[in-house]
Amino acid sequence: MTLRISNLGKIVSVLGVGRTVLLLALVVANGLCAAVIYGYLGPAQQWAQRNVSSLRGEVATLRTDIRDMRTTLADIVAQKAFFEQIQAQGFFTAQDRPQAEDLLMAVETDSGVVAAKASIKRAEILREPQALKASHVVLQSPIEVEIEALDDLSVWRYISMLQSRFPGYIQMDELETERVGKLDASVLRAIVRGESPILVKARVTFAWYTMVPDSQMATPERGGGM
Amino acid sequence: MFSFFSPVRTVFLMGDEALHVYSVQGSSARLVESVPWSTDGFASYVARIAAEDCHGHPILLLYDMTEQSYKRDTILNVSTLDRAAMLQRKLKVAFPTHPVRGAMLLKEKPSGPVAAGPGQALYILAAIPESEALDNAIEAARRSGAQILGLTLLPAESAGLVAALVDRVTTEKQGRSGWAVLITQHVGGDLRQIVIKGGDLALTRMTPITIDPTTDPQDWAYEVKREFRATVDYISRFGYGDEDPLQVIVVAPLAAGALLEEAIQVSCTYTCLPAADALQVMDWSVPASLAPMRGTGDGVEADLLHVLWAGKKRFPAMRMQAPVLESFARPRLYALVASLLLILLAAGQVVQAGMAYGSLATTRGEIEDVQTQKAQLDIQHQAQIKRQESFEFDVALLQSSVAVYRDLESDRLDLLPVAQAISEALGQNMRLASVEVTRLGQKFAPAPQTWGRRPPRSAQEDKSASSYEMTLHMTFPAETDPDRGNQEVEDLRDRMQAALPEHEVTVTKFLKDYGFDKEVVVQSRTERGGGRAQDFLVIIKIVAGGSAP
Repeated sequence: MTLRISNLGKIVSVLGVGRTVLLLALVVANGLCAAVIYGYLGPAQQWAQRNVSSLRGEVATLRTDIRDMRTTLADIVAQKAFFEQIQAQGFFTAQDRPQAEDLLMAVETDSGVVAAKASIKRAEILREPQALKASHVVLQSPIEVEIEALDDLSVWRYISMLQSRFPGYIQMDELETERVGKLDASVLRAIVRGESPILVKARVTFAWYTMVPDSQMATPERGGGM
Repeated sequence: MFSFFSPVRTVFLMGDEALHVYSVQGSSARLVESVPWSTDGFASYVARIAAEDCHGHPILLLYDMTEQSYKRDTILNVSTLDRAAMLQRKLKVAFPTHPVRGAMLLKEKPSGPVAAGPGQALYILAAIPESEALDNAIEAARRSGAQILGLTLLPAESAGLVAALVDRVTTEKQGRSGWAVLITQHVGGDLRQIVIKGGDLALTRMTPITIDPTTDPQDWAYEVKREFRATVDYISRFGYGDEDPLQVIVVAPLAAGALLEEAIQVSCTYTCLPAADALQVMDWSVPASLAPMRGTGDGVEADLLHVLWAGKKRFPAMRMQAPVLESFARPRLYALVASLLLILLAAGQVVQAGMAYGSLATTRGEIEDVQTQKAQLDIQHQAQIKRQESFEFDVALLQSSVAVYRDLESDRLDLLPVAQAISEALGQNMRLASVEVTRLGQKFAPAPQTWGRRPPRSAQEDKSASSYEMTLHMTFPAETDPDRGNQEVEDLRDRMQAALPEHEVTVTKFLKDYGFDKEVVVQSRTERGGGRAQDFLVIIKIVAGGSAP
């Protein structure tokens, strides 16, 4: 310490007090400037840049979300009527078998076919990704119908009525019709007698689809049915 | 301190009797005080004058005492560092007992045998002895704390003054390149003669004269003539001849100068200038002390001329190396340079800090703007969420069910219009024996292995899902003319194709066709039922949305 003081005294004696003070002041001023620049302004600028970048990212995400939500809401508004329509059609029913039997009987009567033997197979649970988004699954039940009719028209009427009256969505997969007789005098006489001669036979395969909540399914196993 | 770059100086004119402190500012100078060497506390007193009265301006020590030694010597033209070392060696050899030495390059080129050497330069070497007066002057400069410009010799500095005066008082060109003598008398009475040749210092002499030229011009002229005669004798040894042009400038009262001009009896161009006139000739300010003498022809002391000439220079022409002086002059110079660098650095940092602050302020402004935007978007986002939450139905179910339903519908086999078109094409007379409809593509049915998580279907898959093949069977009685029957089948196919433009209608079996690509049904006579002819079978295929497998 003594040595340092003597050195400082020597420096002061050579340079003079004013010059020494000025030099020290300049060194201190430069140090302060450097401290302000690199100790405060630099980090503050970096922080601010990071902050503004982060905020811009959030704003961009928000804008995208809002745009998507607006599009979604517009779609929802547009689809609401259709949704209500398929809801009214029973698309969200659990494919009630007794109700289906009643409907099949009614269609058989109303379509004018001579006879229709329908069988509804065990339903299969389809875990459709779109349905799973709403925690629902799709039920698919194959329906096979064997029809006996006087003419083709009754068969087509039966198919049309089944598709329009059945709850949910009915899709026809296969159709086979066969003319088993000719319209001749004996057939005409039979009709006059009040009989129902069979001129056309048909076999139709349908698939019956509805959507039900996933929670209603007891076990989400492959091929699980009802 | 920063007057280093401005023509503001303090000049210590060191005479034999006293130290004369001058303040030089621009083109004017004033004698601040003359301090005899014998003054008690000399160094402190002079230091105070330099620091206070002269405001600590840079100090030039101008040596004008009697004892000055000069020599001319040649130095090889080598690199700067080597030349400095060679000069130091030459100085040490030339003046071994004089510690304060210096050298100055002359314009004159070396002559004689040495000139034959390559790259020789002529220098004038000078030295002054150590003395208490010199030590005191240096100590005073040290104590003043001022910047030190250096220690130099008055004759060496004023050689340029002689040339400048000659330039201004005469138009004779030979005077500028020939010999010239400046005779001046200083405050203490010493007569200083500076002789130059071709602008270089050739000789200097200082002799004491106690006669005042104003009061006793006759005796003054006689004494000066005697000294001038001696000077001419000296320069005759250096090559001056009577035939050489000689410029003589005397700073003295006009009356004394006129007497001197008559007395010197040397062929020359003679000019006498009173001190004030000499200052005016040099376009310098005349101080208040000489102002009354302007136009009177009086005024003898020429110290101001030498002081102004030396003080106005940025750097002395001959800087004398005095170890004691250098011990603090150089650190002060370094400190000055360091201070300037630090000031520049500080200025740069201030500018950088300003820019950084500006940038920071801009970024903060951006942050505020973006935060404002974010706040507004948050409000909109919340509003959208509330609107979505305000629906009385399950939005997710709506979106999912609609998507599933549309997916199912894309697989629909819409056969009723097709059946209608076929019925119309058949007309009243033709009937179908049977119809088979088979789906060609994969319908809505996720593979069980994937647990229903089937990948999204491509457009091609969507198209093939709703594609189907319809096979129509017709029978014609056995007695039908095959060609005519075939024509009717062809016509039927055309009607069907026209009614079903998006379908492909083909006849795969005609009534009678022997082409290798056609189907043939052959039935034994027994099966035909006792010789009864078999009906013709016709097969028509209708493919929608794809080709038949």
